[in-house]
Amino acid sequence: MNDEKIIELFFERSEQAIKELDGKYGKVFHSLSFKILNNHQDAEECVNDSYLGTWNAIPPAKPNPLLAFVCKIVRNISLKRYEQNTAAKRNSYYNVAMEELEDCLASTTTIEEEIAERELTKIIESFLDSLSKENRVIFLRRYWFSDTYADIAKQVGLTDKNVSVRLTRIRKELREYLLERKVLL
Amino acid sequence: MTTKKFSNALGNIGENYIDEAVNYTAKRKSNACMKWGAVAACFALVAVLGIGVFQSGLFGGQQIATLDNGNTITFIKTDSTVGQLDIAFQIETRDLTENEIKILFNDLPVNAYALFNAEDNSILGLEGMVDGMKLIVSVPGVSLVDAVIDGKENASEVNGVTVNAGYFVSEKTSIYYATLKLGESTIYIEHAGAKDKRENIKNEISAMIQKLIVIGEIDLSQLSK
Repeated sequence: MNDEKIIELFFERSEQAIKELDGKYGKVFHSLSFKILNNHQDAEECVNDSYLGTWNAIPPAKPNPLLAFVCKIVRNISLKRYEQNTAAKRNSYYNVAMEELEDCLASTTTIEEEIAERELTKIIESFLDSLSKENRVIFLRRYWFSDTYADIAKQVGLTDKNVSVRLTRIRKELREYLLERKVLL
Repeated sequence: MTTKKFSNALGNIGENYIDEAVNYTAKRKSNACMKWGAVAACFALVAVLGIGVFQSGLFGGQQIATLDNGNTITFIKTDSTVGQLDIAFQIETRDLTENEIKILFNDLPVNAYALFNAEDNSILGLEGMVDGMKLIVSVPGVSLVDAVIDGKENASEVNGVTVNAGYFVSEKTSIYYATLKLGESTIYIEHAGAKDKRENIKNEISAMIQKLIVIGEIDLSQLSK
């Protein structure tokens, strides 16, 4: 079933919408949530919560693309769960991916007035626009989806080592980009 | 800036970027590239089949834990964490009952849930925690992690059971893991913590491996949805 038809089912308040959404994209959502939480049961619950969130959002929202819209909900709910769980351990794929960014974002100077999150999102988007399509995908697969190097290598047709080197360069570019715009001092 | 703040801001980027990342497919490689790809694939195959070469310590360190029965477990340094499991089924989960845990694990402090194939209700394995360590048990024919379990040359032997063990260290985190077979089931155990606690982590996971081996066969076929 195409996405438009699934959205129509949401507008008709048909529970079949959730079944179709799960059947078509459930594995993508579960994989995204699992990489953050490293626990299948938690991931399953977060994906189910995300379906409820989607049910509440559509209508009025009429997302296009649908997959990306729901992925954002899944990621946000999974990160909230991650924060509840995380007092205990540092062992998810998300955690290891975020560690890579720590050096890139480190700043010795304290910024009194921290940049607003929305403004930071815009700056990140403009940084993404400055990258080649392939590098943009590599960056997002790593830091948005928490994919492993091997996953990314498979998707973009490079070696793991190539992906690692690309990510190192992109992080360096990101740091320079943020420094130039006074996001980091 | 904290990574949390960056991650939150990154999470709100436009859906067009996410859509692009989801749907991106690699460009078709030229023949020359494919040849090199084939060469690389051969190297990868050699790397997998010859895991013992890596385990010999030629390409990285190794750490040894000595158990109270005199056996040792050798942990081989790896460059990445064990790959995520990519289950090809829609799954459903349910918590194990106290009785089931008792039958499967005797008195070990296990807290786990079972995973079932949602389509045919067959058991895929279980996943949980034992004394702060991640524990995954897969039934025959199902692999819930992609850790190599067949490396022979540098595998350790504990009470006659083959144990393949490794560790991964990042900036702040150390993760020790091992795979072994108990009966028909494949066991994966993982213990993670701060980098400076690695010695404790190594010893704790080694002691737990020994306890699991003492239990013997873990038969999941008795679990139903």
